[in-house]
Amino acid sequence: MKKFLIVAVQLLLLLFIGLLWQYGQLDSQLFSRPSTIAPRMAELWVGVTGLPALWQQLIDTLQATLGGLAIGIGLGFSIGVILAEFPLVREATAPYFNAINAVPRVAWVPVLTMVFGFGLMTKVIMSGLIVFLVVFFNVLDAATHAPEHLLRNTRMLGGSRWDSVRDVRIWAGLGALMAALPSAVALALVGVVFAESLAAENGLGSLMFNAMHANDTRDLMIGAIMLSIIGVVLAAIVRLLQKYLAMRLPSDLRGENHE
Amino acid sequence: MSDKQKINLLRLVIGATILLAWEYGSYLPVVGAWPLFDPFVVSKPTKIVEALWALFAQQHFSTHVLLTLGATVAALISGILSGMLLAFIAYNFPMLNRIMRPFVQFFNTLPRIVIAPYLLIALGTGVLPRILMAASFIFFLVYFNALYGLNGISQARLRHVKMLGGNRLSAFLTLQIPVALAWTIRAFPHAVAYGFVGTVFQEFVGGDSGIGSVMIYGLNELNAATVMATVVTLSALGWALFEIGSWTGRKFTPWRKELGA
Repeated sequence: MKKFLIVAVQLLLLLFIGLLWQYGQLDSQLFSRPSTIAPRMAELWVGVTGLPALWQQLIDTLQATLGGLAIGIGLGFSIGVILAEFPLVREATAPYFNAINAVPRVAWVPVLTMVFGFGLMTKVIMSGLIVFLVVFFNVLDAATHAPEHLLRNTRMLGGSRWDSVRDVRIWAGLGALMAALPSAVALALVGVVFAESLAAENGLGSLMFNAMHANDTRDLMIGAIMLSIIGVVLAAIVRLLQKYLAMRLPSDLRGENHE
Repeated sequence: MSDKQKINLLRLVIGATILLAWEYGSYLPVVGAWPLFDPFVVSKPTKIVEALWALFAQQHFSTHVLLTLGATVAALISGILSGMLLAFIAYNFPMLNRIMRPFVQFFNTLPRIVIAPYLLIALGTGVLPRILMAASFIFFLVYFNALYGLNGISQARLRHVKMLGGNRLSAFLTLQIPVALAWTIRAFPHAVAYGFVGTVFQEFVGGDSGIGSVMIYGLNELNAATVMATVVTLSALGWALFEIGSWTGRKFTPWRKELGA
């Protein structure tokens, strides 16, 4: 009954927001009404002259996001786990990784644009870099502080460095990766949009920022809605993945988010 | 040679290699032709130092720096206060929390930078939209951290307060506030980093002042040295703010360790 009540109130709120948006006193210049957005969206979906079709832009953005995630997670995880095993190298490189981390993420956009030009490459590298930093620091921390008794057991049984990486550190890192994944996914999308806002001719970010310069709030709203949908769907997928993996990791290796 | 000396030596070697490759990489055979070593693209350390010197010699650059710093600090203060306040409300009114949860989560998963164009159109190119943009990042970080910490307050401690004759107010003052503060301090490094991201991004999108606007100006001129010099300035600011903030945070919340925050 209580649950039902909560859902009912939530639905009412949603309805109220929708009605306020359509009929309320909101500035229609700023927040295009749903009734004007819907036809424009259908139009954009198949494509208007001068703009790529909306589904194509959606795929562009999604492609760059997934590419960035793959690169960032792959590099961040492997470097994090390996550096955890070599304390000397870890300590020696620490200030340089911290320096890279200290650069505000957006500041990379102009630099990367100059190196990689306008296009997919800049977007993928930008979001890959952001994801890398999140994943790397989380995995490094967890893999460095992997349960000491497990490491000692491996050594006692005559295991090599590779054995302790394979049997202990990877799993400790995996827990941390799972914990960092929600922020990684959200930031991958943010990275792509950062790059698209400055350095792209296609993708949802460029749709939005072009619309901003043209003062077209319909396209702006459509871009925002599409991006939100991608964000929410990716977050939901991650949550499923977390649930699936959480039960398969030993409890003392389940990471906690360090955000 | 002790481990410590070895580490310091390695650090020096790595740093020197990076700087040398940066400065003279373009003279290398074959790899020197890569855009990564192109001085037109990545500039050179000596040129960056020159550009930094030139920028700070102009009087208005320090105004830009102060504006960016001021906007970020204002966003930190407002974001942290509002995040903690809403976390207290959500913790003390569980029914309200359950109703609002999907909405809060929606706004959290929404890529926050989509509001940048709206802020520009609604509030123009001034300082206020920058503060709001940066605060929108900070708010969620603090809110989720503080709420996570509050939800972890053990029932035993709550019972202790009741047993010692405390009411809801004393539980709030002696339990909730310290716990929320400790967890907010934990979120602080990220709050600083994303505060700067928010401010600079809004300056990118449409700002008439601030370091971000200087950076975009350098990009439009294809002047790599200026871009790099602003990047260096921003990193130094971020680092300084982070150190000051976490030092103060650690100093004034000595009970953090005990809470595991």
